[in-house]
Amino acid sequence: MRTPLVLLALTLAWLFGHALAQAETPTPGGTAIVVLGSDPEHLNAAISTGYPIGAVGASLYSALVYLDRDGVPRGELAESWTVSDDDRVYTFTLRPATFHDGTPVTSADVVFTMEEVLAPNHGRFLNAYRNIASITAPDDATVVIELTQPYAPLINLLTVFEAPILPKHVFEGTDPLTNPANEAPIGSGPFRFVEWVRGERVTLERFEDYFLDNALLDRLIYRVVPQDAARSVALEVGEADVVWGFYMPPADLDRLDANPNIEVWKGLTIPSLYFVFVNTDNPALDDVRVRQALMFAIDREQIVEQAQGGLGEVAGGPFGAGFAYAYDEATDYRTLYPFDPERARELLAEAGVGDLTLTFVYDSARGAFAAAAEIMRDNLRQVGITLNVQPVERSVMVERVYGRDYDLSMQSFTSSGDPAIGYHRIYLSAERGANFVNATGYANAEVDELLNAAAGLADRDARAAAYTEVLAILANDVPTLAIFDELSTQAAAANLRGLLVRFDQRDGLEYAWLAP
Amino acid sequence: MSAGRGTKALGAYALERLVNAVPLVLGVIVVNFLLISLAPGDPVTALIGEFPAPPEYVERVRAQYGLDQSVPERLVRYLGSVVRGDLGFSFANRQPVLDLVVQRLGRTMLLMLTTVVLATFVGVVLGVWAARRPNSAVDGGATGFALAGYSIPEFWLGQILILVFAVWLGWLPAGGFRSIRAEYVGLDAVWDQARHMILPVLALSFRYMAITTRLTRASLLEVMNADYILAARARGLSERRVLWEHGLRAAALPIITVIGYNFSFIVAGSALVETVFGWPGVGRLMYDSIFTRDYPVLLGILLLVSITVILVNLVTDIAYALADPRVRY
Amino acid sequence: MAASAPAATVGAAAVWGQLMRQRRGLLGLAMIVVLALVAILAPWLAPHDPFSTSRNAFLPPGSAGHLLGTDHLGRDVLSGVIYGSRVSLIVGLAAAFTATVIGILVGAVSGFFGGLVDEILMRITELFQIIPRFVLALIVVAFFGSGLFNLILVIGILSWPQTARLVRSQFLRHRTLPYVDAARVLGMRPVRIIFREILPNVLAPVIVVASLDIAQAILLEASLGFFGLGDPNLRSWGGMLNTAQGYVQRAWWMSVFPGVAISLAVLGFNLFGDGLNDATDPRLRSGS
Repeated sequence: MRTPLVLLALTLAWLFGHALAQAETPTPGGTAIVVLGSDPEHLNAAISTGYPIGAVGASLYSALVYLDRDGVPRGELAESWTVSDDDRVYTFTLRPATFHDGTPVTSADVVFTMEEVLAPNHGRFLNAYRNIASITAPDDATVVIELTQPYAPLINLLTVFEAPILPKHVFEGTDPLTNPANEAPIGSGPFRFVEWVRGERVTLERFEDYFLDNALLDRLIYRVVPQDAARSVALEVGEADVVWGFYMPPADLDRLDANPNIEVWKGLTIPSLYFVFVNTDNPALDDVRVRQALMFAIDREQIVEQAQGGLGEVAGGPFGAGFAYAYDEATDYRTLYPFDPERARELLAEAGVGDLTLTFVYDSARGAFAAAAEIMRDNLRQVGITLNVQPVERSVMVERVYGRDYDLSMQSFTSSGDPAIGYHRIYLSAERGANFVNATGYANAEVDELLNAAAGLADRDARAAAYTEVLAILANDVPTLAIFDELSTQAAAANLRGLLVRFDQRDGLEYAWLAP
Repeated sequence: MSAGRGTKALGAYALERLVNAVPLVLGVIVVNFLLISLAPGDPVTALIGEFPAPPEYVERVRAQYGLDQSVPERLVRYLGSVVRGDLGFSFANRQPVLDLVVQRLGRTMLLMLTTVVLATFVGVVLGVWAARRPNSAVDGGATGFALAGYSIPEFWLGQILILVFAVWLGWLPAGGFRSIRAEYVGLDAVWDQARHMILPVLALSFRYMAITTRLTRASLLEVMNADYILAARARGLSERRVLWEHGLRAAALPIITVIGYNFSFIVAGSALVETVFGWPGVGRLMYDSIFTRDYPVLLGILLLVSITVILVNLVTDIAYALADPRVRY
Repeated sequence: MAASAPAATVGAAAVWGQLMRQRRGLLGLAMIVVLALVAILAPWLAPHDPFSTSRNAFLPPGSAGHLLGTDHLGRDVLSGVIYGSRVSLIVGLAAAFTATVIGILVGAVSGFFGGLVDEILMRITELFQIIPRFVLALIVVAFFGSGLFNLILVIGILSWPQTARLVRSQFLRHRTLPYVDAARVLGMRPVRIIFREILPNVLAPVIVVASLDIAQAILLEASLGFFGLGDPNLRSWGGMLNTAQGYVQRAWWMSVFPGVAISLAVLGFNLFGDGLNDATDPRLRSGS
């Protein structure tokens, strides 16, 4: 693998001429500072789904696969893999690799981590694990995962964010939740742990025995900057090199963009959809005309522009813009439901609804939701609906929304690379009280059937046909009000090159390098 | 309280106060524990990520953190562990609470002690200055400053300081504990640290400067007409010496008191200021812990702060007793 | 707040001081009156609806129709500041009232009856003084909700100890005075003695503390609002500062004006309480 790459690089250098090649040749060395908005709680990415833990974990650990810039799975620890004809048995062949303490990574580590650490403790891995019948290691370099039924998203759930591999010899026989290695982690990723000053920073350095091309940076520092405004200032004064969209104050983007020393990037990577649940337990909201009226009444463009600081696109459908095969122009919400308060008032009058007061519940930690709530409050007032805004602490929000004690609730869901993982659950009929599934009380047997069929279809065209039918039904029923697709963004020092080489911007920092 | 004087009696007094503090601390624990445990919302939800978790997984997590027991059971267990000096285990950080707090405590203390020292020094100087010429322009200015300082919220002051000195003028860092890029050593490191402290300390100390100024001025005005001061003046001591040696000594008592009794407000203020400036101290930890529903950390911080307040009050009383021989304890 | 406002001045220079201070008290009263008028007349004074959003976000102060500019949602900052006075005033008054009522009850019972009752009540008072008020308020409001009623209740319940101690010490002094003995001899019931006989005589310092409590309650509400824990269905100064945090560089006016409003409101009540303190009892030391 490495030799052909070097050859290729040399050939390219020869082709493009010496000067150009030199200007573009990554040079090793230096320190890059990446901003985190909050302190990671610990550094064991195998027992948590938290964003900052995943961020540091992406550099510390490695996994069987990674997703490239286009979301295509590629081998990381796995040199290659094969899938049986019945789509039920995956066989992975491992590369020779070592942990940061010098011990080799073997199939035993993979099996141990998945069975003993990930399955009981990692939320998203559990999604995959429920379809897994067995994980075995016939020899040191082979891992076999056998499924109970075909499950296409499996590979996407084996990345460093869902399945980072831990050293068995450190964790065996201990409680993974309290193992001291959670504070001073040992992984097999491109960077190794140096120091963690809680609340301030985590320092990593290049791991010289990394099994793929060594990282270019000498040091990678994750710096905790809790205050929004201070993050952009840190970037401007050179006290930080990278701020990801997750931590970006949208209001500062234009200013950062105008700064020649800062490179701002915007784009759609991991699709994340923001929408409003509508609780059909409320008799008024059970009326489809009232739900449609809400769609007409809410100025989604204003929400994108002001609440999201322009970092979004008005949603075209219930699955967002992330998947071409799950989108149909004929049912695009932007043409079906333009901002039209007059039409909303007509529909409400038709439904015989007047003087409606709705409670709007959301997670109080989400600033963008608060701003969106204020815009919706104003929008809905224009059509005679009073919004009673109730931001609540997250666990209370979960209890209330999934216990269906709300009228409207703003939520954001991430697809995790496949609508079947992230979005089907929102529309499939579900029990009251089951968390993070359909909380609207909307139940449609036809939708259930079509979605379940789509999940099992490996063929994209066949899937698209099923989705087109679903989209038509949902576009009429609007159990959720799709508001916008979030745009990813990143602001980074202009001299820091080689960023955004993988699907998730937190991943792949081993390719980053500082231009002189 | 007990009659008599001297270190021995003072020691006995301190001991008595400490013994009396035990039920108080117990009360603090019980009140906080019940309040937090009875709050709506399930901490297990915060421990599990955003995904549809099967019920058996939820129950396993619940059991893992001992949240499957009843509230009284948990309270008894918590009290038992506190007695053994164990403040429990953080849900979110998976670390003993005490370790977690101790790591941050130093930085919060740095902020608070600098504030107390600065506020006391500036406050006393301003107060003395104002008291020397009551009702002069200087006095008016000092009193006006004191009232303003007492009315301006510290978190807003912090925001404005950032706006002016970090954003507009670019003189000082907008937040953080120290520079990350450059690895300073020696004097440079001290200077770097100091630069990061200027704004938060200013924001935090304004209020206490104001209180100290007011108190110093008022106490001085009160004692400056006392017999022994008049006598000192009569002996021909210069006004300056009378003021600094006799006046200030007498005024020291209320100043000590106000600093001591305002301690819990400095704690609250530092929580706000730490948040504004991204200062990685206990206040910031507390704020984060609310949103991760980290009950053990919240309880631990409340308990430690309460104990600190009790101790500071005790020290204040003792200092008061030492400073004023008339006080019998 | 233990930060006492000691008056205490004797002698030549003090006369002047007294006058100065009284002028201050009057100034405070004037500020409170203005605040109250703004709060009451908000619908007529505010140029816009405080919740009305528009596409004209981040207009700087002095823009046509928006004297203090607009925020990130195009809402008028001046109208927000005007309506915010209502929240501050209501929370300040209601919370201070709650605290005063609790404080009087606890202090009166404790001071009048003494003994074990006093011992127990004073221990509880001490407990409330030791638990950091702001921290507890933050936790309670975050977990139990931040509606107006909750805010008032939480701030009120956490603010009474100072009043209780003050009332207790006054009652301890008064309960042995001849007029109280006389009332006892006449067979008056304790409740009547407490409320009809003693209370009116000790009310003056209580009112001083209450007015300082209002200032503290306004400050506490604003601090909670700053942490995003104000009433979400009302425009409040603290809440405005909370959203302003993300726009400090883009729109300084979002931070500056609500903060000035808070400071002035708090200053008004502090000046007034200060003046009142001097006017009622030159030797009084509230707090410590």
